Amino acid sequence: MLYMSAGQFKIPIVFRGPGGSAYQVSSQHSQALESWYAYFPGLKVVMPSSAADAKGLLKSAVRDDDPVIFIEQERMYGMKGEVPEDENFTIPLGKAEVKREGTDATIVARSLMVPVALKAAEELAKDGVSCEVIDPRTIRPLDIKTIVESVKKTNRVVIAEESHPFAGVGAEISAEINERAFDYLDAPVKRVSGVDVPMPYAKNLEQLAIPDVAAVIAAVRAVSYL
Amino acid sequence: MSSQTTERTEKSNASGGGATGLLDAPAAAENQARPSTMSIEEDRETLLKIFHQMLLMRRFEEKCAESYSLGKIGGFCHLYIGQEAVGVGAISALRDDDYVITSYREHGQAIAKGISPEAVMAELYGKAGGCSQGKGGSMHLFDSSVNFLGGHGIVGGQIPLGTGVAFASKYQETDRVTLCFFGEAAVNQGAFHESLNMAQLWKLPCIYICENNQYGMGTSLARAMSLQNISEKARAYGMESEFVDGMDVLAMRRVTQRAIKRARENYQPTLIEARTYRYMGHSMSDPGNYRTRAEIEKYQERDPIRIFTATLKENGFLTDQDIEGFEAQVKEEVERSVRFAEESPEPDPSELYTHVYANPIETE
Repeated sequence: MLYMSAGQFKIPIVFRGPGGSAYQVSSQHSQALESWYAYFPGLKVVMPSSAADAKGLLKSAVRDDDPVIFIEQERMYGMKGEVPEDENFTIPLGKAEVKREGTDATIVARSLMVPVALKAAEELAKDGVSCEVIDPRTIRPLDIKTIVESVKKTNRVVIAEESHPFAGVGAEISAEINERAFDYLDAPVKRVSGVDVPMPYAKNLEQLAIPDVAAVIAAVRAVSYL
Repeated sequence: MSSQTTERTEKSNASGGGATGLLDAPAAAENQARPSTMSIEEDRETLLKIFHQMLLMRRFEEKCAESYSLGKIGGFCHLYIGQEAVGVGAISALRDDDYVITSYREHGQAIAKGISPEAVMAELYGKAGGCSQGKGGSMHLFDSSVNFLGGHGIVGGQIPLGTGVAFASKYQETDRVTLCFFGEAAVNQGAFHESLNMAQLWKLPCIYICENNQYGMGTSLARAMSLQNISEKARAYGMESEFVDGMDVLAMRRVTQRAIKRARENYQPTLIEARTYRYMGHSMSDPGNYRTRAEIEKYQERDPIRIFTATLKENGFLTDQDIEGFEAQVKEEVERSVRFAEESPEPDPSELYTHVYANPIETE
């Protein structure tokens, strides 16, 4: 409406709600749809991965004059963490965060995959592989600059996401890295995504559908030719 | 009641028109362009303003048809010809700070609400001088300065939006009301039912005006809707409703005035069904093979402008000389709008990238 009216009507609203998998809630309640919203020019899409990030990003989203889709991972509602008490604690939209510094490989992870990526990085460090973990925090507009800077440093990228791979956010990030940092890559960009099937109910099947620490570790090894 | 409806449906299907409406009224012969039966409460100035607006709308839309055929207007162009009384009658009852939100058949309503014909024509021409700077087009006219909130292409999409606008008025503790126009085919959208339920539940000052022109593109009402008396549907939500002859501008005005009073004083929404008819096709690309020439001509006997002209003449408000004067005035207004549109520049290429975000964020 902002575009069609040539700027006369802005829509300062936040739609917040759960996204991604929970525990055995089956296919209609386990969908990670951030790529659907990120598709539209004019919407902003935000995905926090910690309690502190949730506060800072939500405040920024509310104060922003554009429509923001604020996706909270349902499994993470139970996660605890330190949260600044300041009423004006905000995290800027459109800014990625380097959650862990490293030199050998970059892992771009969002939402549920952030703690998974950090765990994987810890494990890999024991084998002497130093991973840099980046959380975009805002999916749209994407802070591709921070991601590309990291790729130029490490030369290897794994993108971890619980969503399906096809036309997903990982595919977008991969395309962008290709266009901007091809010459810096020592291996193709690798995506670790949720399995490309509707989410089943059975506990064992659900576990197989979502990337775990082992899957991310394997991907980092693959792009490192280890 | 239901057997009567079935009877009407069968009868109208037999006549080939496929639509129930004023045509099937018991004495169709009486449905000539007789003057309105409404008593006149307005002063001459108000009446002539209404007359002028209806005439302006008519000639403006005729000019749009011409311009479209010349390739000056592109894409979709949905003309309001035949429905002028609904838009003018309803909007004439509003305050300037009330809101209007409507469908894609909105040139007339935009002009009635206060967007200049120049700004509308320039928008249709896709020029920078258009009310949406050329970025909206025929279906997306906007003007925040006159509280005209568009212009929406998705059928029924404006109904939840209008409901939200009314919500905002109440939330902000004002007595502003919202007129939300839509066609009868939009009534079949789920969003219509959700919106009316919420509006009645939360007592929102929204006036839902269904312009029942009896055809959703090429599909007659009889083929698309189970219960065709649309005003009756308000009962499902406990909402007030009105049924009105949408060819009678004074009747339309009265009904809207009543609804506005309810909304402004009691936050009570209303569903108004205005029976009307469009003389042109659904849009400029309509081959029109779903209704007969005879049917259209029958409805043209009750042309809203002819009815109002007869009303004003009978009551001494208008002479043939006045009418000539208005035609000349309107001709000049329409031609001026075309000149303005022609001379207005195309949007600068840089405008392709503007107005995507209200708060653009630099990520490069």
